[in-house]
Parts: sequence; C-alpha cells; structure tokens
Amino acid sequence: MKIPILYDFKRSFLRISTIIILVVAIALGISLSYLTYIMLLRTQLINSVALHIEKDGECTIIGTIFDRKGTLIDGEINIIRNGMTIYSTSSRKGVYMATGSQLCGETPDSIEIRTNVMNFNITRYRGERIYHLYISLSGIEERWKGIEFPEDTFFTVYGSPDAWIFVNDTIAVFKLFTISRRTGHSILIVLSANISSIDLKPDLLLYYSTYRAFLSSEDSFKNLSTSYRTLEIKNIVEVYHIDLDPYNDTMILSLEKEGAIGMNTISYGGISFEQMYIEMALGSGGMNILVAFFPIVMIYLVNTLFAKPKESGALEFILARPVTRFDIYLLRYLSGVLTALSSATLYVVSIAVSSAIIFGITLDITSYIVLALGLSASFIMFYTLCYTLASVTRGKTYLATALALYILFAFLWTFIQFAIALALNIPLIGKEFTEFSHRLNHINPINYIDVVQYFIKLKYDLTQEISVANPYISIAVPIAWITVLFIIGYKIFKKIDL
Amino acid sequence: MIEIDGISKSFGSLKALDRVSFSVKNGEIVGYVGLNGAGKTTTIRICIGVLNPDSGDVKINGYSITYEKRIASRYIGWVPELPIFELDEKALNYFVYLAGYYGISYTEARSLGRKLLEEVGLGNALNMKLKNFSLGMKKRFALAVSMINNPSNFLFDEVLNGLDPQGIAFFRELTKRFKKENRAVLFSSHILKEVEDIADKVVFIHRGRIVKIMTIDEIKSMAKPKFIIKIPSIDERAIDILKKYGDIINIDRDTIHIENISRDISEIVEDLVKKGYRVEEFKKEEASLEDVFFKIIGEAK
Repeated sequence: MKIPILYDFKRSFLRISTIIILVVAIALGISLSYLTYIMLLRTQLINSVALHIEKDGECTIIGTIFDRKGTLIDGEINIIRNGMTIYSTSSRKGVYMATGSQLCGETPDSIEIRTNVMNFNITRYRGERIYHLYISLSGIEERWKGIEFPEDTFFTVYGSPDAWIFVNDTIAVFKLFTISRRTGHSILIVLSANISSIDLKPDLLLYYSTYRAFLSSEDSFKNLSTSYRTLEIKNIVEVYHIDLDPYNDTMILSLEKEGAIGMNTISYGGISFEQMYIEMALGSGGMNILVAFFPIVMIYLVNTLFAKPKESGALEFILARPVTRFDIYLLRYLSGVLTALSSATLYVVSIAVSSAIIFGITLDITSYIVLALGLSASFIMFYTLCYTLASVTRGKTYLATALALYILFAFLWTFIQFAIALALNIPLIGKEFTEFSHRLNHINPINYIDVVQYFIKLKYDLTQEISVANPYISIAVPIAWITVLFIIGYKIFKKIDL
Repeated sequence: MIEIDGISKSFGSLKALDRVSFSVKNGEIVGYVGLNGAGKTTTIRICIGVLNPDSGDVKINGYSITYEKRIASRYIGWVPELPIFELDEKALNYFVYLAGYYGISYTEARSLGRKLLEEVGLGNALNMKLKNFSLGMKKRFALAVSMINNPSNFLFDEVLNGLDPQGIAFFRELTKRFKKENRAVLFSSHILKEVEDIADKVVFIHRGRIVKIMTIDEIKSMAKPKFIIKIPSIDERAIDILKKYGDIINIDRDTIHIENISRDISEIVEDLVKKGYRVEEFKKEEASLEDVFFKIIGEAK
C-alpha cells in the first residue's frame, strides 16, 4: 500500500492550490515577521545614553547609540543648549565623544541624535535617587554604606539607563537588553569613566549575579555569593553578551575599583524583545492566511481524493483491487492527513528557519512542535469533518455543505459565540467570556489554533492565565473530534452502495 | 473458478437480484445474458466486491468476496462496461498507482505497466491523460489493469458495447485465449449473439432472476427456422390445415408464421393449393438467437 498512499499524498500535496496557499502563507509569514521585526526596532528602538563630566573646567560628553537589541549603531550628534547646537560630532562604532570648554558652564539641555532610521533627543536623566553602596565580595556580613561624590566633580547622565554605579571616582552607566526571557540571553552595555581624572580607560571589574526579587535578601545573597560572574571593563563603552538565569528576574551588579565596591540592581523580568517579536509573529498575517484559507484546500482535497471519485465511480474501480472499503477509506484519508501535517510542518519550519536566519530569534523547539501539531490538528479536524461529510452526501451537496461549514467556522463564529454567551447570560467582556471563548474554540477547527497559541504565549508570559485552560483537554478534544468523525464516516461509507 | 451462491440485492424497493446462483469453471466461458436492467452489472459488481449483497456470497477460487476480499480480489480481473477512472492522471502513472494495491514495487509496476499497456494496444498512450482516452481505450486500459495480477478469473461486463470492429475482435480473441489458458470468464451482454461464438454456456437473467442456464448447443437447437406463408384470405379452415404441419406462432392479416414443421415442407403448399387457397408467398426464415432469447424471457414472464 506504500505506492498508493504516497501517490495520493503526492497529488494532494503537490497540487497547485496546496502549493499556492502554502507559498503565499510562508512568504507572508516571513515578510510580515520581517515587518514586525523592523517595526519593533523602529518603535522604541534606537536610543542612547551619555555622560557629561566636568572636572576642573574641562568638560567631556561620552555616549553610545544602540537599538532595541543592544546593537551599537552610528549617527550624527548635536549637543543642544538653549535651543542652539553648541557642538556637533558623529559616532564611531556606536560611541561618540565631545570635549571642549563650550560644553562647560550650564549643562547642555539635550543631545540630538540623527541616525538612518530615526532622529531623537535624549535629555538629562531624572531617575530616583540611587544609593551607592560599598560591599565586599568576601561575604554578606559586610557593612553597607552610602558614599559621597567628590566636591569638585560634576557629572550628568543623559538618556534612560537601567542602572548606574559610582565607585571610587568612577561612574558606570548600564543598559540591559533582555533578548530572550526564555534563555536569559541578554546584552549589557556599560558606559563608564573615571570622573576625577577624566580617564577614558577605566579599569574596573564588574561582578554580576541574579536573584528572584520575592526571595528574602538572605537567599538572594547566597545566590550572589556562589554564582557571580566577572566582566572586565577596559573601554568607555563595553558590550557584553551574557546569559542571565531565566528563572530569576533581577540582576545584581557589583562594580569594583581598587577594592571598593558599588552595587545596584536591574530588573529583567519585563517583556523581552523576543516576547514582543513572538507576540506579533504568532498573530502574523502568514499564520492567519494559512489558518483561514487552508481549510479551503482541505475541502478541495476531500473533493479530489474522495467525494468526486466516489460520485463518478472511480473509487469503484479502485475498490476492485485487493483492498477493502476500510483500506480505501483509510488510505485516502491518510493522504489528506499527510498533506495537512506536511503543510503545517513546512510552514512552521520555514518561519522558524527564516526567523533564526533573519532576526536571530526563535521559539524553543517544544513551542515549534506544539505550533506545528496545533496547525496540523486544526487542518486535520476540518479535513476529517469534510471527509465525513463526503461519506454522507452526494454530488454537489458535499461542496455546498463543506463551504457552508467553512463560512460558519471562519466568519460566523464570533456571532455564534456572542449568541451562545448571551443565551447563557455570560457577559461579553471579562474573564468569564474569555474562559467561555477558550472552551468554545476547541470545537472550531479554524479557531483551534487560538488554543494552541494560548499555551505558547503562556509559556512566554505573553498572556494572562485562563483558569479553565487544560492542556490535556486541549489535546483530547481534537483527538476525539477526529476519531469520532472518522468512525461515523466509515460506518456510513461501509454501508452505502457505490 | 467463480461460484455465485444465492446472492440477492435490493435498491430501496427494487429487487435487483433474487437468489442468483451459478458458477463459472476454469477453462469455461459463460455468457451472462439479459435485457438492460436485468441485473447483470449488479451481479458482476457483487462478484468483484464493490457492492455488498443483501444475502448470499460469491467465492473466487474458494475465497469469499464478502469476508476475504483482499485475497479473493487477487484472483479477479474486471473490465466494466463504462470504465471510470480519475481522469486527470496519465495512463502509466495510474497503472503504477493501481499496481501498488497489489503490493507491486514502483519499478516493477512501471515495467509491467509498459508491457501490459503495450499488449492491449496502448503502447503509444502511456503518458496520455485518461480523460483523453476513447471508450475503447478506456476498456483496454481497464483490461491491462485487470491483468496486473495475472488472475485466473475474468469478468467482462458488456465489454463489446461501444467498441469498433477491431476492438470487438480483440476482446473476442482475448476471451478465447483466456479459455485456452484455463481461466474462468464471465462475459455479460444484452445481445445473445455476442456470446454465441465464444461462450460454452449461457446464463439468462431477467428481472433479477436466473431464468435459464443453457449450453450453446441447446440454444442453437432451440433456434429452429420459421416459415412465412402469405394467403390473401386467411380463414379458420386454412389455419386448421396449417396446424397439422407445425405450430402457428403469428397471424398478421394475410401472413401466417409457422415453426416446428413436422413434415416435408413442400406438402404444405400443395395441400393449401389443393384446398383452393392461393399461396402468394412462401418463404423460410432462419431463427435468430435473439428470438431464442426473447422466447426464453417470454417464458419467464
């Protein structure tokens, strides 16, 4: 039976209609993901932090420009005071520096940055008062102590750093980019300088570790004392690729200079770039196109593989071979199932590979498998429904009924949901309706993908937990749907006179 | 060997087959004759296992088509009256696909396909789409497919319908060859003449019931000539005279049809003339198998 099933699969999968929908979905998936990526990069996108240091009448501004992923980028710099440009320069490898007496006196209001992507201004940082602490790495019993800045030294931070530490006349400004909340992969940009001597070659050691903010401080420090990592800071701007513990949410930074330690923390429990990308990519047009239109391919496939041959008598000629009705019913069914599985897998693999190559972002392998299986389940549920329908109906009735069901599931479902909710006195907004909608989506082959996406989003902390959601039920429902419809269809097919 | 054992089939309120039983032995060609709608195709569709009987069973080489279809079907070849395929497929590709159901590998199936399609006269149409095939070509393709497993039993359903003389001759010769090769052939037709030269026996079906099973010799012996006598004034006396010579089967104004002549035919005219009748025409008409066919069916009514 190998040849017939492969042959049927080949002519199902390599149909013009199947290929067109797949190619369009993949192309849209990739291009819209790309668009998503670009939009994400552009909307918050490029930013900068800078330090203005004044020492004995000498003034320097050093800064860095970066995008959302922590990649350093170049631009033109104008330093503005009272609406006037007092200094212009450009960055090199993402770093800019300006030195001159015109920068002294009244601190510049803002720094205007022009890049290929966008123009923006950064202004003086107005963060909360940060307490600068000394701590020895030798143990947690060391005293914490506030420090004083040198009286003859002034500095101003521009932009929105995530943290800054002052230790032993040296200031370090930190910007942390969580690339993947799942793996903890992050990029840390450190801008630092010795402000007492305007030494642009800082020689610092940065120790970092992580902890969960809700744990007691004792537990946190145990964690810190046993698993800190060290980074050497040699240049004014350093970019580090680091892996933070994905189970924790706060990074603790300790900056050492000549035995003195300054400490601060950065929370990295928020939404990562990866999460934003996934949120948008999961609901991207490519996936929507595939989910919305592939059922039409399924209707057509059932017509080609089963309804039409059954109606015309071609199935009868095949049935004269050494096969039973069950064999024919199963083989033709499996050809469509294989097509659904292959199409879903091909789509997910294409999106995964292109995401990895173009954007450097991927979901974890389990999520990809879940997504491929969910898409497949969605297609197979609808395919099985059509296949059963083709067993029951004759001639054009099949196509008419299948299309009617498609319209029902694809376009009228929202109204049906609302109607049922109203009938059951369920409010149309809020938690109760979300739960109701989640449950109802299980029995809509086209909306089933929403159930799958829910579990993936939940894994990436991208959605609120739905209390009634149960992965076992979400697996059992499509299996039950497919099995029951297949059995009903076969029972009917077994008895009809071809 | 094909053994049809008491099969019945109804479609709704229509009884298509009523306890049909007969057999086709190896090396035997059985003509299956009946009017259109008599139940021939229904019988054959049950024999090949595409239609389930309401009762009864068919055994192919001893294997039940109902309960052991996978095995039984390996021993049957079937050429339907109007073969229907998936028409968008190319001949050789579809052959390979169907050969797959016999467990034949792709390479072997392609080689076998070329050989058999060549053998049935489709060697130049291997890559032609089936939708471009004529009826004759479709029947030849169905024949090639039915020969995939070199079965010992063949079912030809009205196979000569719609064929050109060359096609008719081809199927006739093939049927005879199958007989020589000790295969069992069931050859259905609604024209008795079609099976006359090839069948060893004929099974007559009418309205779903087997009405007679006869050898060709028995049929031919039934096909006696009839005589047509034209007398301008037919009366009771003339009829009485003619009854002495045979069976009057029809009287049409001035013409009398008579058969089963028991005496010398020259005496009939002489007797009539002596008794004052003017015989305008006297001719002998050979009886056809169709007459026998209708007679048998008529008896069944």
